[in-house]
Amino acid sequence: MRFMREVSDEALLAGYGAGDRDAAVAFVRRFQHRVFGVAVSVLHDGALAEDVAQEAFVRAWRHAAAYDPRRGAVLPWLLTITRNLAIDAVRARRVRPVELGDLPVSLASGDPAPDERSETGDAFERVQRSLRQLPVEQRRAVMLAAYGGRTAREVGEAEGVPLGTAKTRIRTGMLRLRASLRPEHAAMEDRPEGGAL
Amino acid sequence: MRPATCADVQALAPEVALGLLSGAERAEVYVHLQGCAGCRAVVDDMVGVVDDLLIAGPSVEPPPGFESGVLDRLAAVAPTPAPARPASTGRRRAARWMALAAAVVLVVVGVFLVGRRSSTTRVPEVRTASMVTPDGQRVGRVELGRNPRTVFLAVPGWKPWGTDKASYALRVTLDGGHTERLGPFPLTGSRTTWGSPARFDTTKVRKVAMVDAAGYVYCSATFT
Repeated sequence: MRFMREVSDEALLAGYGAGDRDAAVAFVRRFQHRVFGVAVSVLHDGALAEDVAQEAFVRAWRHAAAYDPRRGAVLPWLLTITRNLAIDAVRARRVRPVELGDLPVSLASGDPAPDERSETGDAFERVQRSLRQLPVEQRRAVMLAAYGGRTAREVGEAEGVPLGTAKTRIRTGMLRLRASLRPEHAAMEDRPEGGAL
Repeated sequence: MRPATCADVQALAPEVALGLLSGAERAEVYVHLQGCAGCRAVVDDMVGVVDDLLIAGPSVEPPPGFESGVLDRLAAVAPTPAPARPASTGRRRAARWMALAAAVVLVVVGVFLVGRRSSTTRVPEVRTASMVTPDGQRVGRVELGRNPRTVFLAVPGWKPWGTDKASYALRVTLDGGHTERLGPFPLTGSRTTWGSPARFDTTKVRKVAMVDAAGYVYCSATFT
């Protein structure tokens, strides 16, 4: 038996999904900054981001019972829900798609704010390092897709390149990130599929 | 149109993970993934890369009233509670959310008046013990939260007998020998966790046993 200082994310989610009021407050307080951060990063609209972020918590409550810890931790599960809702809002409400300059300053420029570094620590630096290793065209394409919610066609239009080139940049960028962030799984060879990068 | 091949799907794996495919493309990929563990692993890996990008995203203070806004939304969509809910709660689930929303508003006002406090003011304690089968095999763990009172079970080592789904309950033994029962709940090949609020004092728990419908103890944990 061991004592821990805080209930685990999984246990908190279970209590949240079961309707426990204390667990609900704790769950929202634990993750609201990260959830709102992703929503703002995609939407670049505070009011809409607040709406989407709150809805993300509702959706997490609805689907808490379906969460499987073997597929990943609670935080990325919750942030994926948030990102998907935010991208749906971009497409459905014709919100101005985020430009590269609107993206999270730290991720776009490589200069994290002090509080961001303390919040995400090693994960942030690891991802930063991997992104910096990408050719700038691939980094822009991946970030526009991941945080901008842009489809490959929209990335191509934004960057002034053909659809095929945009797809290649996204795919190759993601493959290189995978090789850098998950080297033990990177069995696929990094093969540009032809065309300009 | 020919069915998607492994080469097709693996080339599309980044776009699958990023959610960039059209409905038709996505359907075609998913048909292939249903029957191909290798391609599922590649797509899962790419999903992990997207997770890494999200985890490294910014942490931004939401506007005032955000918490109560979430609880208001939950109160608006919460269903009527099931009959199996503990009698001691005795209130409709929606009413609980509304009461909670009101309480959070009061807390927020209080924080504003006395100054900003750390979001980690409430730090509940948790006790954890391994869930072990009668023949000594560790199959998971159980967590007991003190405040809030919660019980969380994770048994990834559970193996179904005969069918892929079974129903279990938790038999909780407290100080003095009194027992409480939580559940029933299902376990399947894809879902091996379960959690519940506890109406009893979790600091007084001495043993937790996972029992099947016939009362057979599949695994148990002891707390000293």
